[in-house]
Amino acid sequence: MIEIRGLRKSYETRYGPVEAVRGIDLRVNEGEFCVLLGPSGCGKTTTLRAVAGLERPDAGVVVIGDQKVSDAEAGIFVPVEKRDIGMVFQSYAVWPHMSVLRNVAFPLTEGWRRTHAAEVERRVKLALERVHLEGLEKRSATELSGGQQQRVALARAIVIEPKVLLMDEPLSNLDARLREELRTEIRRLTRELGVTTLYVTHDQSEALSMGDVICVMNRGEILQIGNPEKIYQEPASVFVAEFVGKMNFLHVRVEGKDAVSSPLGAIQCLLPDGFGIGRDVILAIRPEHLEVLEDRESPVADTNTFRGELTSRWYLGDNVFCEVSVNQQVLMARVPIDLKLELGSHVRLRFPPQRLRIIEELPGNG
Amino acid sequence: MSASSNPEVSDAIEGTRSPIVARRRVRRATTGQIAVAVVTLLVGLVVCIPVITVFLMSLRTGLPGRSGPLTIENFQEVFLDPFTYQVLLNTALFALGTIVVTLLFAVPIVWLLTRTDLPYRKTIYVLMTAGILIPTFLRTIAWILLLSPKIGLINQLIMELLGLENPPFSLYNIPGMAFVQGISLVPAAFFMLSAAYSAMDPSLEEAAYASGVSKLRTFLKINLPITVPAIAAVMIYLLMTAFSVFEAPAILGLPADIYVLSSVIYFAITPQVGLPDYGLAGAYGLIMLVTGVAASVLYFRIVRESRKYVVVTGRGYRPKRIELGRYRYLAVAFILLYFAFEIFMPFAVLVWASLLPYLQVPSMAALSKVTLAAYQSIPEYAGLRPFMNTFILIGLAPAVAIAVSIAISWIVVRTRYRIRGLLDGLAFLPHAVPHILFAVALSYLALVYRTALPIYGTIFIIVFAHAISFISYGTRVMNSAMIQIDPELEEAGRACGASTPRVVGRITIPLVAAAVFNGWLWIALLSYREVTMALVLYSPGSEVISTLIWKMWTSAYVSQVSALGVVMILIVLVLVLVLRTVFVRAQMGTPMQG
Ligand SMILES: Nc1ncnc2c1ncn2[C@@H]1O[C@H](COP(=O)(O)OP(=O)(O)O)[C@@H](O)[C@H]1O
Ligand SMILES: [Mg+2]
Repeated sequence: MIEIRGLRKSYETRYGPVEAVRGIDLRVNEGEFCVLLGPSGCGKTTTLRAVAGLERPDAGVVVIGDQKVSDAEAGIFVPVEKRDIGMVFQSYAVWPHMSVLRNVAFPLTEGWRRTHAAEVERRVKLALERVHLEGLEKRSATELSGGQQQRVALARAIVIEPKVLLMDEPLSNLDARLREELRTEIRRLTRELGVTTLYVTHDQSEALSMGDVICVMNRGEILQIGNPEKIYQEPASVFVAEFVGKMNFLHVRVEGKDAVSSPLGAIQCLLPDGFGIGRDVILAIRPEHLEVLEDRESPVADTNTFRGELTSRWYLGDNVFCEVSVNQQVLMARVPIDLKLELGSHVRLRFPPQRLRIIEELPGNG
Repeated sequence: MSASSNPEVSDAIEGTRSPIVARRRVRRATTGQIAVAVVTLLVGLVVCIPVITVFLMSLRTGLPGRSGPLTIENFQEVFLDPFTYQVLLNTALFALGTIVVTLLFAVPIVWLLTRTDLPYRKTIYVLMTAGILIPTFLRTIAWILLLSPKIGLINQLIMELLGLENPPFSLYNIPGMAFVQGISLVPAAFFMLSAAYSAMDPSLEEAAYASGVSKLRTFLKINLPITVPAIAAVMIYLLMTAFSVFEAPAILGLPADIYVLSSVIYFAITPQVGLPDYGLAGAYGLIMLVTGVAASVLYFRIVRESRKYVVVTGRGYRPKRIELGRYRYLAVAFILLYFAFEIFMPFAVLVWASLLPYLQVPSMAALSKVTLAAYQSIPEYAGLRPFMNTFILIGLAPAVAIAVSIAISWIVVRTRYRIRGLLDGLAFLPHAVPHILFAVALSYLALVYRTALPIYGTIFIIVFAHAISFISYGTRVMNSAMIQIDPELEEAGRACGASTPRVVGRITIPLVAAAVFNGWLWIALLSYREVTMALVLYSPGSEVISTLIWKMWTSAYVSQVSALGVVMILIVLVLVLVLRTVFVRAQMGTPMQG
């Protein structure tokens, strides 16, 4: 289990202090895989390094398992080398002057977890098997490919069977194919070991496919925490919605219990409680949820259906991504490839009420 | 011999060699291949001929140009003389002492600057580069003015204050030489070490902490082994340099009759009495050459080894700086002491000595004697010629060296011709040949062929010597600049229909303009501060400022030497500042309005 409460950290720079993390609260349950997702510079690495003990927080509490490892108020700070963690770095950080074997054995031969030779051998062997590096023990670390080096780093992190595993963009130095392969393996491995994991990435597909829980960050703050479905389907803000995928937004005004007025016309939707009539909110819908239909030339009578013009289309293999202009609003949609549509032709767009999401945009956010 | 008439050369420079092509011997070389072959041949000639000359010199006796049978007489003379072994021992002790002094200052300073919260780091970096403006031979002279047993100011002061009978210090010994030389080499060692240090990925260290390993063990098992190749490379570099330098050991060794290899070679060809003995110089030179080349090979090995250690780095997190707390002023004081030794004290004593008719301890009486006479009389005893020659030298030598370096680096970095490895090695060879030896070989050649090519004793042979020896610096600078330029920038130019020379001229060179300028300035500074080669090669009429100072020093004109020394330092200071400003302006694009 990892628990972070009220974490703050700022750096002194030439241009004054930079607030990298501005009050973060997060709890990762035992055995859970939590992904910190956000754009570059939002404070993910700083948060992770504070958990690792590589940065000393200005304020807040960090708990690993049942041990409070850092508490700025109380002046508690367990140094990194005393924490029960395994860590994987973006740059692999495989020691170039040692063989694969010595790299992986290092925590067991040099750290506080020192143990006898037979046990070291057994555990190193097991760790290397787990990452599929059997037979490469004697190799110098620098003779390995990037993917193999990252496996060595992974083996080194799990060989101690740590309480928590911390990974900072471990796949971002690898090429796309390897990334996907290792994604699956890391997930399988953490499940097998049941280890609590904190994983940092800026890649939304990595986050969605790997995380039990995703924690979206921006500017040193957490915007939303939830499982992948929740984050994707029910983003709490425009920022989260856009960061995890494409999204159409319409500025609308609440007109009744289940209706809003939009620049396109009236739209029926399921409004959550607490949205009074006359409030300005944002209506969001993912492109794959917009229904595009051939125009039947008959007057549009169905609810939530509007006539528009197809202004662009991109064939993507498994679907067609297109833009439809309705009343000068451009909406993105994904349609099946067998729907034959000419550029410039008229189409009808339908907004399925159950797919519509109302975002109450907070001032100054996004 | 051109590439087209020599199938081996064509094959060698062709990037790929298919068996069919190799068998079909008659084949037209492309313009590119011919150009590359010509460049390689020319570089090979100018670099290798002096080296071969050292061999030939060592196998002949008598004056240059006298033909006779080859002989091993010189080697018999060298190896049967116990003096030789004394010289070798001196050289080794001097080299070791130099390394110790250099590392004693360089290692703590690198550590303080890269790992701690030391204040004034920017200023310290600037001062580190400023030291190059004081030539080593001037620093040596200045330290003599401070520590000579007879006239040294520090000695006189201490004797006066403590009422001593005898001077407490003497600089005329091997520790003295090592001190001055070591102090002068600190900046080079500093920059090499801090470059190696910042190439190290900090997460290597953090990964050890995260594995539960203590700070001390991490230092011993990770930091130290990873930086060992870099420290070893620096030590070998220092060893090579200390083996070949001439200025400090010659100035300090001569009065005490302490010789090292380089000074023995110099005095063999410029004896006080009798004829120059080039054969003897050649034999000693060969010892130097062999050790120099061996050390270079070792150096390359270690550097290549340490390259392997540079792995992918993540974002630029620096490990947290260690807080010095109340020791920070002690640390600053240590660094100030170093700069006092390297820059402030030498410069101050030169200024002081230049203002007095004879050297004396600062006092009211001394102050009343202050005069500018030594400066006013410079035109009398120096004239304009040494200044003109110096400007010719520092204008022409870097220009030639950089032009050749651009051609070499472009071939080495950008083309796939097989010969490029050889070319890169050839360009680095001058680095392994001590300057004193290079100059002696050139002077020998110029004497032998003085009728065919009358450049002996002119400023042009000095220019030539400097240009060739500094090609190794030039190619290092240009190589690393060109590696940074994406080849696609050039390919885009070619795709627009521009020829290769045009692409290089219009795209590559403008992109590496900053490196061209820095390389040029750097070589100009090295040429300006160096006296060794000019001293061997000059004749009346081709003296430069540095040789003039040297000659006047050997005749003990203390005030005049100091005045000229101060002028020499000020000239280069102004020159560097002006050139930098002009260049920065030009780089900014449009000059400022109004
Ligand atoms: N050592 C440091 N010194 C100064 N600023 C830093 C340092 N580390 C991070 N920062 C700043 O803190 C902010 C958050 O950085 P980081 O945690 O690395 O973000 P992320 O990992 O999400 O890209 C950035 O603005 C970054 O520039
Ligand atoms: Mg990061």
